[in-house]
Amino acid sequence: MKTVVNIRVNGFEQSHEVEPRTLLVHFLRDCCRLTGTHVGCETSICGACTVFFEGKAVKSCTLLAVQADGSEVTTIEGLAADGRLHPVQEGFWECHGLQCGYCTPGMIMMAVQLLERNPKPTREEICHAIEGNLCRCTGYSHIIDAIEYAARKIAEVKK
Amino acid sequence: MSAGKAKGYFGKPMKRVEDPRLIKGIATYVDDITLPGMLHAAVLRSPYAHARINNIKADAAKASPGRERQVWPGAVRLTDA
Repeated sequence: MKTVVNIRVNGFEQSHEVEPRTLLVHFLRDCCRLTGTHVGCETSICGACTVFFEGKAVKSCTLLAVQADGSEVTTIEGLAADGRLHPVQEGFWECHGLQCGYCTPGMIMMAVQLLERNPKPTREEICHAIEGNLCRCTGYSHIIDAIEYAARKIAEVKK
Repeated sequence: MSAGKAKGYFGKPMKRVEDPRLIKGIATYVDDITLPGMLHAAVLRSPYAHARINNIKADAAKASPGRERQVWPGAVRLTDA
């Protein structure tokens, strides 16, 4: 039994017929063909699937598409939608916050949310914020540098 | 290469050229590829660490709905693409 799910993804209406068991991450990847959101563990441990759901960072492998029906979702593809990199994306590039890049979309979404809530986080607060996002390449220190860079960049722009 | 040209590359971090697509979510990983007629595959490994395969009973697998085919040991050869 399939059901139609309507989700506004990165500002565009997406309407697809899915099985009720379909996870939001599979709706995004398979139905919307937005493969920037990654599936790492499917058990909400790794955070590679982190997206904004109604403005809040959530792990899209732990949400059913039907639960997101009628909602607004932003994925990594929607972050630089106007063609300009988000300061967090810039920070990851500038500070070598990635190697293989698999965790990066989730890591970036998480960092964007952190800076929205806490524009001047300490390194400790950054560590805490990304506890739910695993990276097997960088050893995290460059990721923390990247988020600090973004915080400075956002503060400069606001001045 | 003259020392003048090389100078710009030493003693400072270089931005990686592969990063833009990775940070924008537009890179293509193997799991992102969709081609017509793609199938799911499952690998069945021997439950024994050091044993000889004499026989594989695949009747139940063959009877399962939607099954496309089985690939046996020896049926796959590595070739230079």
